[in-house]
This record gives sequence, C-alpha cells and structure tokens, in this order.
Amino acid sequence: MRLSLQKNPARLRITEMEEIHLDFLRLAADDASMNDCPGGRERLYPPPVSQRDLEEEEELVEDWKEFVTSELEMKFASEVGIFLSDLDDAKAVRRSSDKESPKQYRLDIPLEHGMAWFSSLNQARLLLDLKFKLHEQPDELATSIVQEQSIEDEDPDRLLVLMRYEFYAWIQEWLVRHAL
Amino acid sequence: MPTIITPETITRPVISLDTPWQVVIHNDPVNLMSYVSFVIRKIFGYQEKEAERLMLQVHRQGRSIVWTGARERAEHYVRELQSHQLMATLEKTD
Repeated sequence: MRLSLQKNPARLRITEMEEIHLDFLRLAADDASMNDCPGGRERLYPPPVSQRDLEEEEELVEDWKEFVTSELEMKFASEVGIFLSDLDDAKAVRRSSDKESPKQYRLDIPLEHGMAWFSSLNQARLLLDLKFKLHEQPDELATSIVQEQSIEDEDPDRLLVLMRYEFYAWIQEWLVRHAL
Repeated sequence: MPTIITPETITRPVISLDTPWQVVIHNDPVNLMSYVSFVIRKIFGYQEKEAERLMLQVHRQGRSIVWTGARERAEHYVRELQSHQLMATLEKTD
C-alpha cells in the first residue's frame, strides 16, 4: 500500500490513495472526538499554570476557561471541519482499464489548509493516546507496529488504532517538512 | 518637663520591578519533535538551531523555559503554544 504526497505553489496533492487510506482519514474526526475520553478536555484545553500555582492564580485560571478555552474549542472544531470538507472532495481515479485493480483516489488540499490538517490529525493522535493508553511509558509507544512478532498477539482493534496513529503521524511529518 | 524626642525617620525609596515570568513547554509523548521545533521557531522567531536545542531540552528533561519577560506577554505566548496543542504554562521566575 503506497501513497504519494506532492506540493506545488497552490496546493497539496495526495495521490494513489486506496479506500483504506480514505477510511483512516475519515476516522480521524471520530478519533479527535472527546466522547469516551476522560482527560481529553484537560489535554486539549489545559490551564495556563502548573498544578502547584492553580490556587494562587485562580483568577487567571477562571479567565482562561472563559476566554481562551472557548476560543480554542472553536478553533479546533473549525479545523476538523475544514479537514472533513477537504476529504469530501476526494476524486476516484481509475488508472487502468483493468477492473480488477483497486480503485484509487486523488485529493487536492489548498495550501492554506495545511495547518488545519495538521491540527485535526494531532487532535486525533492526542486523544487516541489517551483513550487507548498508547504510551504506557513516556516516549514509548505501547506496541510498535513494526515489531513483527507482536502483531499476532495484538488485539485487532488496538492494532487498527496503532495503524491509524502511525498513519496520521506519517502525514503530519510530511506536512511539517513540506507544507507548514 | 519631659523631653520630647522626635524619632528620626529614614525614608527609603522603594523601586518595584515586575517579577519576570517564564514560559515553559512540557514534554508529551505525542507531539512530533519536528513540530515542536517548528512551533518554537514560528512563535518566538528563534533560529533553527536554538529551536532545536529547546525542543531537545523539552524531550530529554521534560520541560524547557523558552521565554522570560513580562506577564502579559507570557500569557500571550502560552495561549499561542496551546493553540498549537503543545503543553505550555507560565510561571514566576524563582
């Protein structure tokens, strides 16, 4: 399964996408949802001071919740909206007359949507990490999908989560290097 | 008749300087290292090498003080960092 990412002055283009790539990306919006994610709000909308200063800075913390948190909620939701709307524009492309070959898709993303894409995939990864406890130890992914021997023992649902997590990270890495 | 002693008063000028505040980025296992470095450059305008140094400090030591100065500005930077989904707080300098 391969995928090509290209950039020109006006847009980002993803080609050779298969159905699974699109499915994964569509799932990013669900992955970025706070449902069933206690701790999600705290991660995406943390207070502006550390735990030890919360009492002393009570006024700032209250103002922060009222003004900054609500602004960030709107910003993050709007970024996911942009991301989903771009996904809706994916075009099916048949590369050959061979009807057996899997259908492929092409996706054009306006350059100015790069940050919205990054943010949406980041929200998804941050919340997947919390929902599925992907990092038991800091900086250590619970199960690396590149460790062949562990794949067979892995719960299939969790394996799919890990695959999405890595797939989103791969696109994000490309966006940081070439599009932001 | 009692002697009245006038106490000597000493006046010391008090100069109040605002305590500097620092902006701290905390490590998290999800944000990509390349992204943390990119955000530091974007928000603070640091050179690539400095941004990389601060990012590595976050990664290795769990936190890094990325800016020090007036409180209002520190609040602004924390808001910017959080809007990029980094874990950031402000705190008084020791």
